[in-house]
Amino acid sequence: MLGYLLRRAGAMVPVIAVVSVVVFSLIHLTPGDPVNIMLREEADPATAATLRRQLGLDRPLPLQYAAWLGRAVQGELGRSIRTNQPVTDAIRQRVPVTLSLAAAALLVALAIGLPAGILAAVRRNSVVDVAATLVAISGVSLPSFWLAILLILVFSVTLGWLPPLGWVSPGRDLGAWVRSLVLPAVTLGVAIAAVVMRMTRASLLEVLELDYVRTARAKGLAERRIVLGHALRNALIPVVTVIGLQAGALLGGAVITETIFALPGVGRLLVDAIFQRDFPIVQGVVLVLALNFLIVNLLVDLTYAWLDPRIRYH
Amino acid sequence: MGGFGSWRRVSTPVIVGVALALGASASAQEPKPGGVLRVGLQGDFTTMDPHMSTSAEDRDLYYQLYSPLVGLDANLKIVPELAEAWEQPDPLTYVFRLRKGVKFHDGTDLTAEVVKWNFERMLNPATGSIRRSELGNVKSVDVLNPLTVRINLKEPDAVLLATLSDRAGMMVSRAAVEKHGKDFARNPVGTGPFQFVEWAKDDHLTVRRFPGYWKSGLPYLDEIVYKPIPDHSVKLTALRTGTLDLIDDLPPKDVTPLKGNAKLRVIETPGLGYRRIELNHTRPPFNLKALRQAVAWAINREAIHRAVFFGAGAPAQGPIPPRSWAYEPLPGYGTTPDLAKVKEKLAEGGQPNGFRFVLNVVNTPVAQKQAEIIQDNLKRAGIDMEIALLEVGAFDEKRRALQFDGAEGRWSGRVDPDGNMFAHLITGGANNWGKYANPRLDDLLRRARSAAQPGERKRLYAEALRIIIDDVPIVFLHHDAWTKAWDTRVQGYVEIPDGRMRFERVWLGR
Repeated sequence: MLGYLLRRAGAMVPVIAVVSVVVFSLIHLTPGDPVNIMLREEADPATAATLRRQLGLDRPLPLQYAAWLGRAVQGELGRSIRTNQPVTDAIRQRVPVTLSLAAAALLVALAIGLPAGILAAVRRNSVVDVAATLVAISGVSLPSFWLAILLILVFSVTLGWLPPLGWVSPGRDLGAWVRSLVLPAVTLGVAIAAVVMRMTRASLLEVLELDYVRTARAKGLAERRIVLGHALRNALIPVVTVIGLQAGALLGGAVITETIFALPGVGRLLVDAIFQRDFPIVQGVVLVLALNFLIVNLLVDLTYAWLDPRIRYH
Repeated sequence: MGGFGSWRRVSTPVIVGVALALGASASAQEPKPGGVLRVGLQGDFTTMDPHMSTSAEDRDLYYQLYSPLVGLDANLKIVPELAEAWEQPDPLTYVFRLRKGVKFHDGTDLTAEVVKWNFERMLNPATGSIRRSELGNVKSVDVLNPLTVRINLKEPDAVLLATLSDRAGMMVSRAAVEKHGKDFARNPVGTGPFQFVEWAKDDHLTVRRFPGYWKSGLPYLDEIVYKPIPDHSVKLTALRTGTLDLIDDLPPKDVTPLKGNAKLRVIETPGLGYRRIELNHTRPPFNLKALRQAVAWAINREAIHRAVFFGAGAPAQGPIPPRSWAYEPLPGYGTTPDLAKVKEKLAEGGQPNGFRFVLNVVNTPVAQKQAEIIQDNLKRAGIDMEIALLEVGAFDEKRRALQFDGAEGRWSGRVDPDGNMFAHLITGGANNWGKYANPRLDDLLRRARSAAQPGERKRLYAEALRIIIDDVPIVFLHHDAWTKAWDTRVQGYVEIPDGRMRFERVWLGR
């Protein structure tokens, strides 16, 4: 097991290296110069040249990359071109927001998706099944910006129950933190819930056809025990894969949701940095995101073994 | 601005009187101290160091944290701030007398030495300050006594005072810069009415009342919290639901529905800047004056004013907004098209059946809508304009490489007319993107820049404007308005036409 973990961790290094080279090349291939974008109309060539020299942007690209890499392996990701903030600080500030939002959205997705999927599978072709499927299809189809605005109008403007925007850190006010997360989490969670529901239903239906379930039924076990105790556990493996992928994507930040609810998450940091050609931020954030994705994938793989003890890692 | 040898002086009580009189239209009550003002912004600030700022919006924060050497009143007249008086013994010298007892938020004193150090910080190429070009005319700064500085100029400069009312005139604490170095941008220390508390990028920035502010009794508010909210409709919702007290930079389409809301006040201040089409003078078609004129005469500025800006601001016929002392209505292309004139100009330019060109446009909704109206206007005149919607970086790159026929642009505007013309129109100017060159105009703009008497400057600008409207170096389109909306409990706001927010006299009613 330990050997497996070490091998997986070792395999992350080349992946991260390739990601960083690709991102560095792409952002520098994109037209647009950070200093010109920053100075906009106020650019006078002498000032622009000074700034470019100070930021090290006048050096050849391979040298810039090497300098960045040299610092990055020591955990030093440089400073934002735009705000002069250390990149690690900028990321550290955003991670709690994105983590909270991702966790809350997954919670919403599981709380809705799993029971609905199980019900739909057990009562296959019933009214419940059709209703759950309809809800799921709508959930996937709703554009998040539309749903977000609708939720704000109902729950903030009309009912006044929840704040329309903003982020409160849990350390400052736990209740306000929860309230600030409800609407964005529902916005994001509904679409994922729909995917979870469909996957749970399909997977459970398949498992319920298997021999061991027939054996359990023949033994006279209660249907409830069969579904929740025996079938569900096996049915969850593809569901976990889907959730893992969604979690990885959520950790990359949900730009639209973060923008509408004015949440200072990783997604907004990255998108703003791309528009401003803030190279150090873009490189730093993508590095962290790639790492997150790999770690989530590893966790998903480990969960398989927990769900199905026959799966072993060597 | 002239008056050699005489100290210009307006005592503080007079300014307070003017401000209160203006605020009084909102309410005749006594200002009530205390409370937290929550302000919604379109985007976040970039840096809190005024000498390094490259974003006009940063100034919405700076007037809270810093005081400039001189200020502006509601009619854009220069008034004392940190400098309580100044004189100009000769065209190349300004002498500023500083106010006594002004403290920075870190407890250090504002002295002539500190002012000299501030100028040298901005002028030092190693600082990389964008203010360096604004202060390009400053040769040196001398300390005459602990509260008097002398600024020595390379050339006469009628624009200097206006420049010093903005970021170049904002004094930062030397002790704090020496302590924090580059991180001063995130640990700002000024002499303004509010001191910095905390900044969580893209979430909020908080400033708190500075008890040692040199204008005694001010500010009234305890705290200001700025929140960047990128989505317009959410920002509006936050104002309506009382999550915010004041919002800035409203899209024109959202203004009209707000005006009917009794709980809110909407204010549209005519701005100092303009929207324009830059023309590439180095290649056809716009190296020909007649074809530039044809485009200028074919555009329906009135339609743009109504359909894109919903009547806020004013159609533009030149670089000078109607509010400026240098403004005057001129003969030339107007607010509505003149198709007969266009036809004549097309024939004169050798393209009687019209011609084709591409307009580069940054992909924002307002710019796109404006471009579509222009496209339609030109089509009626037989000119085929293609719109190329570009991301800002790509737009910028093409403009710098002179890979454009026309490029839609926006200038935020400056208090002094020089700021709206000089760098944009002079041969080789930093903002002269289309490489326009006209020695006659160069001469006029240079003379207006250094002329000491406002009457003389107005005459020179009038002559320059006549050339600008006839020769069409740039096609001017619109002077946008600064639009803000606030809850009626916000009182005492004094609107300065540069559109920036100043909160030292604002208080909360009810």
